[in-house]
Amino acid sequence: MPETAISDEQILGLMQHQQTREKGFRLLLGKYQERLYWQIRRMVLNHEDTNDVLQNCMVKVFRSIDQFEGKSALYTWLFRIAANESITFLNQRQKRGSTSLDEEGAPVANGLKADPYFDGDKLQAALHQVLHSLPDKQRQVFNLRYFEEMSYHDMAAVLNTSEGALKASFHHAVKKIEHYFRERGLE
Amino acid sequence: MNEKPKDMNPKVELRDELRALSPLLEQLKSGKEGFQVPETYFQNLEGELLERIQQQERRTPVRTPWWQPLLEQWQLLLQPRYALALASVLVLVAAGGYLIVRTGPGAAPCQDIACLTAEEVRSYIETNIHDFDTRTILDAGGAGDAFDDVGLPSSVFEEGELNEDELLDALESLDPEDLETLF
Repeated sequence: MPETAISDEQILGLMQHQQTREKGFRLLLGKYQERLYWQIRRMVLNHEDTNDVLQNCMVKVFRSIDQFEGKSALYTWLFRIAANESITFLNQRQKRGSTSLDEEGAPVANGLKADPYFDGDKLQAALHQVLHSLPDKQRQVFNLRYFEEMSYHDMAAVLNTSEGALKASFHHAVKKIEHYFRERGLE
Repeated sequence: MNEKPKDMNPKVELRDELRALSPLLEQLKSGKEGFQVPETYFQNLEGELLERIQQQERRTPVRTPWWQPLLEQWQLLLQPRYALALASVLVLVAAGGYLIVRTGPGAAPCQDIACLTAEEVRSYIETNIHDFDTRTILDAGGAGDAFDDVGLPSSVFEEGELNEDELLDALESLDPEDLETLF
């Protein structure tokens, strides 16, 4: 049976028991690992960093699955863990000063160009550069809407925010990106 | 008035939204994102993660609640062989405790007249001498044989009459054990 055909209830049922926890975890990974990977990758950009954050995130999921109360969808819970891990990682990276967003020039775009696992063009690199300058929450909204093509309704559940606020946040992010591109003649 | 269908495809909805907001972003969306992952990354991730979790579990002892060891000890004691041994020990301890209470300093006082000291008997007689009915003593002494047995002088009982002065003197010198044989 393909992993996506397995329901969250089945996965959670397996993970609740010590003997079947590993099996349930394998199924959870099969169903959600790629989606979570891309969610984290769009936040931290670099593959190696994404791998670290994703692994930390999944270890936490394995250890704290008993704390999942079922008040939200499983993906919503996973998304929040991944989002928190990503933001914690970015804050630590910023403190270390390895990528300062206040630097002049385009450190993110330059970093992406040097990344062997990035083959986007100048415009794609510039898009990630400007996205990196957005507040974390706004960037999450943009990523979910633009890259994951999530509806505002689903986003409201995941981010625990009203649809109107999400729509406004997305539009605001789009305007900032437009402005960035126009300023640099990248249209 | 045109109403937007509620279950509109999010992809189409996004395209329309981007077209209205930013044609540049709409154009960028049609191209590739630019990110790549190592070829077998997702296939290997599961194994790497489980190995990491197992390694951490080996390093970090599992936290158990404080009462868990006590419960385990209790369950061990409830096994038949240990329960039997424990019951035997408890019976022995109870029996020992009972004996100590019975014979120890707090044990009940001796009820036998023979346990009394001479001083106690003397004191009792002096205090209660008037309660001693001469007739009782005479009856106890019978025809005087009993007085002879305990060593009272024959002068105490002469011709069926009791010489009280002699009796008091004799009783004072009487051994408590001999006194007991009179009654």
